[in-house]
Amino acid sequence: MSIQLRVERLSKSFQLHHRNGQTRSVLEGVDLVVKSGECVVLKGRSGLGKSTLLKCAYGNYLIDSGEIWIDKDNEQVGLHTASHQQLIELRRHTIGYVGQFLRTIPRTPTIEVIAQPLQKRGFLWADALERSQQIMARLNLGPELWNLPPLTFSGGEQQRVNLAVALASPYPLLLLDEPTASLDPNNRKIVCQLISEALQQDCAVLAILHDEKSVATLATQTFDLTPFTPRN
Amino acid sequence: MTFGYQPLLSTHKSSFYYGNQVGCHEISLEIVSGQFLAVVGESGSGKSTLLKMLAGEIEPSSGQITFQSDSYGKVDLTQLPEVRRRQLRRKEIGLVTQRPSDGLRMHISVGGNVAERVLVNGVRHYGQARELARHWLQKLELDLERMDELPTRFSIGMQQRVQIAKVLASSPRLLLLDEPTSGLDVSVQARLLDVLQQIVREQNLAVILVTHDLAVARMMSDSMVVMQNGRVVESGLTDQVLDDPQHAYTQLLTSSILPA
Repeated sequence: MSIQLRVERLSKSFQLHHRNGQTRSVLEGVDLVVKSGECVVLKGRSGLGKSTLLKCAYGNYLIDSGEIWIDKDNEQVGLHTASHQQLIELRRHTIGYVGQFLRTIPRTPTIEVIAQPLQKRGFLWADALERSQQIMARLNLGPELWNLPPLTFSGGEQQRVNLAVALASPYPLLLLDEPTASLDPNNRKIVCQLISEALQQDCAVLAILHDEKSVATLATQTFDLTPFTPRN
Repeated sequence: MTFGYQPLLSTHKSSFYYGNQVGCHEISLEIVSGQFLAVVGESGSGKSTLLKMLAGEIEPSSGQITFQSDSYGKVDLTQLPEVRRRQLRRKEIGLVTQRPSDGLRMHISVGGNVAERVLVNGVRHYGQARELARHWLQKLELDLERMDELPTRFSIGMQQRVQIAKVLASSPRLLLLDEPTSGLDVSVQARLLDVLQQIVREQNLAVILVTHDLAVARMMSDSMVVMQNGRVVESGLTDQVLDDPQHAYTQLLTSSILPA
């Protein structure tokens, strides 16, 4: 199994210029590897920096020191040194991130929210639409919702739209921040099934999951962040 | 990473001084086709000066502006003869001003405003120009029944859409937007942003969007530069700059607003 994500000696702090320049150190010296086909679940009490680590791996947060290596078509790309254009490219083709919030342009219909990233990844528009319909159907987002903008949806529906974007054609690396948090048991089961299928297709998954059932189904390994947080 | 891309426009240490006052100082940035770049900062930070410089309306005091032109190939805008620069401004680089009345001729009809731009760019036949005008007005969701009215009879939000139709009618490759939605109702703004995003995708345009609205910047842009006192103090992918701002000024900007 090839290494899809390799994190080495990663440290991250936040400097708060308007709080007397205070520095809040969150992570220190994290070493972590996620191979394709593997699902690594981050452990540790809340506030420990689990989301911070995912955001660093997506290039959403900058890191202070250390290295983040991503496999892009069998080539190792350093996220910590990537240019803006390389980052855009990595996010377009290699790294999928599912966060807690959905941000879209107000009037864009849900089906297009899902199909547009597919088109950017090289799918023809008709194929992108078809794949979008398939994934929405599996996630219990019925045809009556396809042409509505997702801003009109409930929290659980919005979360499933986020998942649909990442899973319509799974990215080689999936970063999932509590993907099942606002879902009912039935939808939670469906999402777990879809993530399992992505793993079978050799995707690598790094996830924060709180419900024990999902962890038991999906995790091939758990990773406790407690040793990597500074003692204040 | 095996990876090649060609920026449509890039600036290298471009500066403009009003006398000995800094308009903008040593700005280096680049923009790629199909992407939005947001320029944010408070009023007086040099955003509009930068845009005017890129549009060729004012000449930089120093630095280079490289543009990949359809007609002239790769050119340094600062070295280009005025005639050619004007040509580019009419065709390949489209500037949408904050106040629509600055970009429209208010005494000729809405349809005329758009058709005129088409005629200037080589369409000979008036009927054909009018047809193109109809196409762009429709794209911007304007009522074609009213295309023979003067822009003064339109609301500001509609005037802004007319101005954008006019600019797009010349099929530019680079679109420069100066606070295009400030002063518009939230619903009108959402509609305009949605239409813009759609057109940019269809036409594979590069867009530089000057705005002080961080929520708009987050929704629309891929990357972002933050300006203060004429200088770029921070740049990066939009979500990174907004979620993990490094510079004191950016932290102030992102903390003084409601969550974007």
